[in-house]
Amino acid sequence: MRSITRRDFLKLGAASTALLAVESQLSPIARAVELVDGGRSVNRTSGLPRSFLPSTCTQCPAGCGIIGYVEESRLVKIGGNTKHISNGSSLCARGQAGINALYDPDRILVPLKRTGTRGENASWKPISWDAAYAEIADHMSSIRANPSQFVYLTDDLENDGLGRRFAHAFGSANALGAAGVYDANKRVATRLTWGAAGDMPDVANSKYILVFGANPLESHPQFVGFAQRLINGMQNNQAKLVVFDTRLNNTSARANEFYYVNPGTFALVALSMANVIMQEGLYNRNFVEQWTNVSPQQLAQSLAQYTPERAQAETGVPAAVIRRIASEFASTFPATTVSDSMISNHVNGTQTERAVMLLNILTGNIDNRGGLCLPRQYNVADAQPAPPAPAPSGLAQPANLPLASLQAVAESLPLLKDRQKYPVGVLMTRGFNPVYSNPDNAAVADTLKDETIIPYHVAVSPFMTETAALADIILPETTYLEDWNIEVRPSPEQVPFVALRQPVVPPLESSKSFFDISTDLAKRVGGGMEQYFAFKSVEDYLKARIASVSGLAAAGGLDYLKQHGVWYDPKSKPNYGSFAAGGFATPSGKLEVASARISGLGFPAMPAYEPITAFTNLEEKDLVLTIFDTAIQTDAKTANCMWLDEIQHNNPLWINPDTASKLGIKDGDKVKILRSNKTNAEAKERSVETTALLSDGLHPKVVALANGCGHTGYGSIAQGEQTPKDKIEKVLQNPNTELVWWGEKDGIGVNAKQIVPKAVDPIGGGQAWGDVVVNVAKI
Amino acid sequence: MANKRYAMVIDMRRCIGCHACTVACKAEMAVPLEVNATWLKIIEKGTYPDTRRYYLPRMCNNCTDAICARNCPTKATYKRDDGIVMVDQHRCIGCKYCIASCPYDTRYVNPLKNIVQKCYFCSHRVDAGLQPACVETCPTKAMIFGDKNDTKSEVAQVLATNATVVLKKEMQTNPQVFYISADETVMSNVEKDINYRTEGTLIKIRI
Repeated sequence: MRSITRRDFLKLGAASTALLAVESQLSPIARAVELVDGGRSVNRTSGLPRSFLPSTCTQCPAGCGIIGYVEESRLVKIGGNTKHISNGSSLCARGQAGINALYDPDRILVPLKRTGTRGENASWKPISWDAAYAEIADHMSSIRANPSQFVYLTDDLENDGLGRRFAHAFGSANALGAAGVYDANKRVATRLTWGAAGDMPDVANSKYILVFGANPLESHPQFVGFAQRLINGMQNNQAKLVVFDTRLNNTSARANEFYYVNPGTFALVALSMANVIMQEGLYNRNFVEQWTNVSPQQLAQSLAQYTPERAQAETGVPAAVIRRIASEFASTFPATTVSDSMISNHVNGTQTERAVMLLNILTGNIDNRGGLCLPRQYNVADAQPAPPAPAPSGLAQPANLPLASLQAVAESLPLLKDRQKYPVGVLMTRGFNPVYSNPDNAAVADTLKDETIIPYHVAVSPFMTETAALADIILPETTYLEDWNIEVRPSPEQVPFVALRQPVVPPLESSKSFFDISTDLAKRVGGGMEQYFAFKSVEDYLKARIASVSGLAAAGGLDYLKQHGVWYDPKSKPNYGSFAAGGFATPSGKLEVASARISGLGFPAMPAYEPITAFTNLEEKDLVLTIFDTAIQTDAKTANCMWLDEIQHNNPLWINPDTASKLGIKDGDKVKILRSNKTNAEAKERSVETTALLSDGLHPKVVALANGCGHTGYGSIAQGEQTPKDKIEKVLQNPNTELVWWGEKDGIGVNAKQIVPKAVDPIGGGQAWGDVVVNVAKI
Repeated sequence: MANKRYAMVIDMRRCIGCHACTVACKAEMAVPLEVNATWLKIIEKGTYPDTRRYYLPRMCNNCTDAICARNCPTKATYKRDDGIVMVDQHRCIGCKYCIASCPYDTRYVNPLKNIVQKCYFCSHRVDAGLQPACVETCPTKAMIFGDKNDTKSEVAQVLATNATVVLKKEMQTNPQVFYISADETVMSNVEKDINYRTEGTLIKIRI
């Protein structure tokens, strides 16, 4: 991760100009209207103002700034934090629905100890925190001499500083994040090429936006902040939007031009465009010569094989379109690409991301205003004294994936079955639900059920997720709305910020924040780890964390964050072209178009198109499954939110009418989706059943299922069941729980991940969600 | 000085069909499950590969010539001086004449209270000087709200400088929700939009 220092920032004549510029980009209409756009809320009946606190949303990875509005200690409304540089007053449906998670009728409010066997026959009895801690400390003490037998599994390792600290303080390197099932390939592709994990296209200031398999108007790592800037770019800056995808979605629906691409062949579209740009001399010669580690001759030679005619034959995009779009992209400045999971979640995903990135490199659209920018994000150090990082383990860094980040969770979990090599004493899961979210999740469940593989499983969770249901003990952590954390994200505004998550209401009943849980446990386990949890209060810990952020202390430090929710240097403006001073954070200091680290693994050093084996020789009946994210549900996380489920509670199979007709399938028919054996010869036969939704917005060889449905656990709301009031703890009561209607009427859909076998890109280590070949039949 | 006259403009060039308005309304107005005061209509149009999606955020039009207000037997439905059409919950007897009168199908019976409700342009927020909840939360700021009688207001200026359309102009109800660049098809058959509120599936109609 790139760290930002004061010297990076260009000095501005007047600080007020910077503030004004930022404000006007955040909400261009705010100054023209007489009614205030956010920041306050009133009671509907009395009109009296509600008390409020700013915090950070974690309903999706974006981390938008929120304000919690409270009446009599109950959270009654969530709004956007007008002071937040990414999202301002805006929030998406998920952010608005966070109240549903806080008051989930099935929320766990006391520690639970399993009785009966793990899995289907488990039942739970409440125990005291004291008894729970004592039991966990016993188990952890028993592996004190072999600390790597402690495995900690979390969602967002970067922002889970406490979890990593807890594992490291115990002496275990096995703090595993979940990027491997999300965006690992993109992170590795960008890190290898320009030395920073991720990117941030400066779409608000771009003139030409070329989208490859991304759907930022429905799903993006910075969803609200990015979508509003993309629309601003189109509406205020007249940027042209061109989209390549396999299906119609909210982004391609908004595009000036949209082209369907054969699945898995996106790299060939990008490389043939790069070829055109080189052949026609449209590239930025100075930039390429100064800032890449290859010569124009090498590039031209490497790209010559990717002719538009070959691309047309293999991708389905007409050669004339490829030539024209390549020429438009290269002759409109600034321009940027936007790429995302639909291209990177393949076995060839890392190289595909690099192929798309090459278009920006050839045209000099790198870290410039309106181009593809480096992710601007504060690197908030761990609180001092920090525990020494233990030597990397084979779990955190699987030997077959030397270039992957420490989050190759799809690869890591199956490794646990090798008990000799990767013995586990205590597994702690928190915030991540692999039994829903991982590929071949039935196998993950089998692993977690097996007490010889996982002797002891502590779930830190406010909810009975599918993963928590396989624990031995559940510690009822608070939800994100009652907890503290320092939150950093890449800034869509290109000005880095530090945000605070603070309790907008106190912890419900006896639930505890993870700061309290980790501190209490560290003291009980002892053996030296307690010295890293000696903070007098969570605020002291947070103060120690933000100590490394230059400028924040002068602004008021933690007190400033508690009052405003977010801080950024008011004098800063986007430091475009930051690489000019010290080069890129790569071994050569240049953009590594040719990557020795990739060729060291036996793959082409240059961005290359590698056909996906599973897609070659597809038979007539074979279709490619796409699992897509919507703006309503976030993977395994949000299905306990009734307002979201009411909108998206099931997931029909989207299928092209011509394809359906050949299979004798009509709209609304029940269908079985069977994983074809081509995907993985060893994988067991797996299938799911849902209804067909005929749509002309699908490539004929592609069928699609939405993510986020089909939970097998996670409480009554996720199951679409009504809950009578008298079955619910008083603090969680809500008359709406008796009105839940969708389970009985429409069903709750299927978890598409059941039929996806584990398969990762050998370079980036990211799960190949998009490589599944299926057969579909009417039932 | 002329009365205030509140109006909403929804710019479909900016709308991304994300449902943030739908959920913001649920939260702000404590709208129960089963019903919606604000919701999103989505259609898909065309044949492969020339297919497009169109959206239409829906809510009460707060009509200047509101048939519902005329037909309410107890005067529970009434108009404020600023044009917002209200329902006095204490006078409503649940007879549903207003629901039958509305050409736009924007009213519902609250299943927990058995009274009729709808969108009031967040009158309580407007009275406190705040934008309606949907306008505040809209990720792309596709919704513009304000006093259209104030020529300096954003909404008046947008109305003056853009071609706008309203739903079912022929009903002569004078709706105060205006759309920019809305698709003709998505604007038709709005009396059947009830499906979108109660079934909730992402896309119900393909054309």
